[in-house]
Amino acid sequence: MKEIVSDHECKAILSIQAFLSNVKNPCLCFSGGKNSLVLLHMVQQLAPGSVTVIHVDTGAEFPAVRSYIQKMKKLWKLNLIIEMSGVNKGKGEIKETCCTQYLFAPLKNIIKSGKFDGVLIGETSGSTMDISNFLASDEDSALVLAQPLISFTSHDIWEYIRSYNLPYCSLYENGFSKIDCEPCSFLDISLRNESASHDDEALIKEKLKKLGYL
Amino acid sequence: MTLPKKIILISLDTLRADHLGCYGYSRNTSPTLDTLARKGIIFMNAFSPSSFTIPSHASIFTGKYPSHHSIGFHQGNGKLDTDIDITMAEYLKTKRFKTAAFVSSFVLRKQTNLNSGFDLYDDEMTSHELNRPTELIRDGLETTDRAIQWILNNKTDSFFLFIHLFDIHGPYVCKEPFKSIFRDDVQSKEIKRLNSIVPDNYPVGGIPFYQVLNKTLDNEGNIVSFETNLHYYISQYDGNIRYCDSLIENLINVLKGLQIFDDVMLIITSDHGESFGENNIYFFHGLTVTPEQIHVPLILIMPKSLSFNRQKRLYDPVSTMDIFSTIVSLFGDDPDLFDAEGISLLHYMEAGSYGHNENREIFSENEGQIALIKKNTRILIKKKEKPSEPKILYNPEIIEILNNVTYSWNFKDITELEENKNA
Repeated sequence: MKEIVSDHECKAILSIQAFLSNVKNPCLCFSGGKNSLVLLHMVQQLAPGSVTVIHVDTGAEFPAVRSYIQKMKKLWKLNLIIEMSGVNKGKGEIKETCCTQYLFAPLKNIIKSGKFDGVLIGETSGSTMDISNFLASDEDSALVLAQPLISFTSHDIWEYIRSYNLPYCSLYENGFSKIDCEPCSFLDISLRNESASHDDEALIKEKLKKLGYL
Repeated sequence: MTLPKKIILISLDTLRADHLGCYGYSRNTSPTLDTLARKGIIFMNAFSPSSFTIPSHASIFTGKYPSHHSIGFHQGNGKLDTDIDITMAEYLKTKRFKTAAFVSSFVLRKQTNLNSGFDLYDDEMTSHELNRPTELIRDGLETTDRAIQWILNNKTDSFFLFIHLFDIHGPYVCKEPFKSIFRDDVQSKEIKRLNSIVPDNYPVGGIPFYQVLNKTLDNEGNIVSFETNLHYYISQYDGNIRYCDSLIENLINVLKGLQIFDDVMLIITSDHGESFGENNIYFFHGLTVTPEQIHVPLILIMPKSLSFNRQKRLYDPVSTMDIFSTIVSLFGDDPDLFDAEGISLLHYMEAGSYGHNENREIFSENEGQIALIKKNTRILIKKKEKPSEPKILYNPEIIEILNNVTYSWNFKDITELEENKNA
């Protein structure tokens, strides 16, 4: 168990505490990725079971992510809502359009229908902020948005996961640095030598295909 | 009920139950375990869900049969799917336990993912098997020394500690004084010669290559002589049981010295047994799910704070897979939530009877065979109609022969043995 808490972690915890004290019916977006895992763990430590967890299944999730989400539901006793957003295969679509249709819009709907008045989002310093921007764009909504991990880097996230020994999705062990839907996920090329040839990349992709991930 | 704050699970690899004093063995192989069994709860008919190391440990950790956990029957290349299976260590992490494991064989290395949920998983091997230099192992003394050091550093915390000892597993290389402790007794004076060495992938009718002891080689590396007496091998196997017993004694003395022994839930078991000539198989396991390979010890010492009758000897059949469900139940959770197939033994331990689980059936399985075990009935072993795929670890011809043999074994045998001994 970790004994020294970082400044980042302190700030995030304070942010979550403030959020929880201001919101009556909170929810948390859990993609199954590393950022939302850290956020979920912090909330579980502070107030287990106090937040409804929402996962939007875009129809193009990795099987491993679906299994992992179910495992986490059992292990951490999550009050989990899984919203199936459609039959997106994502092939050839533009990411922004695709995300809006199959991820952001269903998320907004479920937040409205569930009468949630606050949402926790695991965006970090390296995130694109798309979800927050989309949710914040609704002028009629009084939704409280919180991004407690916004000062975290990817390094901070992994340090947190390792120090608390959190169970994370196995895709990260297979070379992915980020887990979106299947079509938009990519290999963590930074782990490879810059001089790696296209052949190397092709080989890795081939290996991933055999594993059923591409 | 006060919850346990410290849980120690000890797996004595390859230990068949009937070689312990508390299970009726004539040799004094286990003075410490016998004392623990008298003071705690001993399950006289405990069975492993498999007769191989990795599938069996995966069942202990997940509470699922090998058919249903993600390692399945894979031994050499088995790997737990961490996106699916929930382990005992992961569960106890949610209860804010520190978790550590100290294993003694490369077989249980991190790459199997059996380290899932452990904060520390010490799989550093420091030696290798006598006849198979690629099989890496660690002496039990070193493993327990490391575990004790970890206890010293974490004695005030809630913790789950898994200790795996491999010394009983073949080859039965035994150190003094344990080497000679049974070597010259009456039982060892019996002679039964096994004059052939058989390949490890065809271990029938002779000594498997990896088990050969006391061999001498000529200049070209050919074996010119080797130990042939069955009873010598068994004396060395038993000597190693006594060795592990002494390591557990030392561990318990440390816990007592730290005044935390009464806080500990201590579980002692094994992953499988070993054949000593049954079905013409010597010094081997994994081929069948016959009694000598799946009947294992299960001894529980409950913390003093729990209101259990601490001294019980129970005879109804249980599975080592039940350990997971028992721990989950202790914390007030429903094992079904985790898809566990074992049952909580809490009621059985308290009441001394199975209650609504009276007609429970448990199974043990390998790729080709399945054993059905039920109270007051014999073990029924039959060939699986549809062997699992893919993997043939051993010669298919052998598996076919073994699968066509029917076995039976009556629980009464061991019950009567114990009653007579006590009388």
